[in-house]
Amino acid sequence: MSKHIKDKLSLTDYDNEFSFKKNISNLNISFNRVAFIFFVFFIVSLIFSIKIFYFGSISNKKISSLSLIKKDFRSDIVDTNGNLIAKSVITNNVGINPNLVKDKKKLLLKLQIIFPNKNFDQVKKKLSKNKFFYIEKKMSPEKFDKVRLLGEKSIIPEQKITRIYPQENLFSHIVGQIDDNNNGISGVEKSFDQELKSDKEPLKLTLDTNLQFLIREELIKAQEIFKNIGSASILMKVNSGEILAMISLPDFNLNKREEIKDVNYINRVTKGVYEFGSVFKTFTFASALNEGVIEPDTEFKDLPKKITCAGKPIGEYDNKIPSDLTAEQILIRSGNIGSVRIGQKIGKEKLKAFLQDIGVLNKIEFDIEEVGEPMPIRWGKCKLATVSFGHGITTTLLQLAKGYSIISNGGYNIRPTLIKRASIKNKKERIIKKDVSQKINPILRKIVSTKEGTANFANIEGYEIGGKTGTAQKSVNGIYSKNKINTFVAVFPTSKPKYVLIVLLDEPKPNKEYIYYYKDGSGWKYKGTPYNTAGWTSVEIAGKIIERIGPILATKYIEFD
Amino acid sequence: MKNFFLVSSIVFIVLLTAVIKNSSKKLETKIYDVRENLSILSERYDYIFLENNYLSSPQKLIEHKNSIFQDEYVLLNILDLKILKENNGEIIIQNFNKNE
Repeated sequence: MSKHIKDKLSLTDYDNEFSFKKNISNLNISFNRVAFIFFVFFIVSLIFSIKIFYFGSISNKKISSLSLIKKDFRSDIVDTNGNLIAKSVITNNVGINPNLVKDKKKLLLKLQIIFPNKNFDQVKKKLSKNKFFYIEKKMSPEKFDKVRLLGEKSIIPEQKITRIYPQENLFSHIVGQIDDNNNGISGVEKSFDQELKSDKEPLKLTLDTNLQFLIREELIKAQEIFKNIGSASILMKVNSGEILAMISLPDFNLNKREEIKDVNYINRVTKGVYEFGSVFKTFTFASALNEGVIEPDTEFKDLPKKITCAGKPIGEYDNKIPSDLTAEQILIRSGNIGSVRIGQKIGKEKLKAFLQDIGVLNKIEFDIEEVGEPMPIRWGKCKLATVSFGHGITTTLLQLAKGYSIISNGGYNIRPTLIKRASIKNKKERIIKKDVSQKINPILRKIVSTKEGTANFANIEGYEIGGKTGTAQKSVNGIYSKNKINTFVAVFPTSKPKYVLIVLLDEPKPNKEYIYYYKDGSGWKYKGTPYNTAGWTSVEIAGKIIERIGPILATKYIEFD
Repeated sequence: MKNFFLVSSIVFIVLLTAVIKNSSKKLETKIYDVRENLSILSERYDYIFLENNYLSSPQKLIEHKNSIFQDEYVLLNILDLKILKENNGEIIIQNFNKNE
């Protein structure tokens, strides 16, 4: 028996030996399998190794920025000092889908613990309707977390972007607003919509919150004194065009999100187009200097008190104005007839070209869309005469600031801006002769510092203020009314101009009780507003503004040699 | 010998993969935690910054001042301001406005 088994075993061995070739082939197959498994493991380990290297090499900044990506993103808007002007916050809303509720009683009990003050009879009714509804909007993060921790499938949490304006009214005409879908609908929010949605860094404006506040406060006080229906002011750097403050009153609280249709809420700096009157005489004078047709000491003799053009009289505001004046005296005393004579020396084509060059005639390109367009002018002999002293020509306050900046900064073109840029790459382009500024700045100073000038109340000691007043009758539907637009353009310090400040009062009224303090060192006071002109209204307010903002400008924006 | 080499390499690779995967998972968790913490801190910072901006806005500061002091602010006279300059160890005092 055992021998038989042995024989059988040896036969098996023989079989194995016999299929040796086949076995080698099997071995080849298994080797390929092993290599395949090896390859798979190798690839997996390679992937993870790459991942480790990636995490090792990624910078901290990238990690932090990745973690902050939000679906509805809108970057903040800050002022020149980094103070918040607009900020996005994510608000939490919680809704309920009744179709997904398993146990209504249990859900209501849970919700009653989180919202003890809620009317749950209404919630019950809504639950029975089987339609999605919000249980609460703009919840606190703590409450939101509590609701989420309930783990109910029927509770749908939702996060939405909301814009908050911590400065309330202060920047209302500039910043604008956004709609419910995170789209800018006005102001900077609209013009820089794409940048605000894509840039992680806040959008930095050139505006200074403190200056903006101080100027606004003085304009509000002016409204109490002169009962004007509105007012506006702009403070701009004459060399760079950076706007430090821009206020238009009345304004509104951006956080209330009201739809305002009253035209009195117009942005009087950029959108309002006005006839500014005598402030345009500086442009006529500068154009004449630029063309070389006059010098400051050029004499004009036998100037009449009245002339007529196309049957319409042109007279002097002050009949005591002498008949013989130099060009400089014409500007200081704000002579109408003298300005007409200067304008006639320039000629309409050259005056038009000059006004176009300094950017007061056509619509300006600006950082916000709310920009007004000056009325077109039909140039003729009479138009040349009226434009020379600032009548029959309109522009915006922003463009007026631009024009004065170019005239006083050495003749360099500037682009007014609200956006703080790391470096202004634009090469300085001189558009008027250098000596125009050198000749005109001392004259602007005399308008404020001498008794003949019309802006003595702005002569604040230490600031070398120069400027020009403008009193114009408001036109309604093309007809002049008794209401006035009083404007004062200040440029300071006149020895090396840095800033232009304009104050506009819309329909100011004389105040019998207001006390004026003379700035000539005499200590005199004067009670009541004798004339409803810029010299007694806008100049007074501009002086008060410069007194308050001056120390900030002097110390904060000082440029050391 | 070949089999041994193959088996040991597979075992080695398996172990290596396990170790690498494990450490990469740990790293991922760590990074996730850091990101979450950063995001929470950044959100908290944002709210505090917003609150600080609101409470320290000029409007609020003036309101606080008026509720505490009745006095008006005294305007700073620019002529009282001086510029201190240092030149080779020597301190020079200049008038703020050189022209007036």
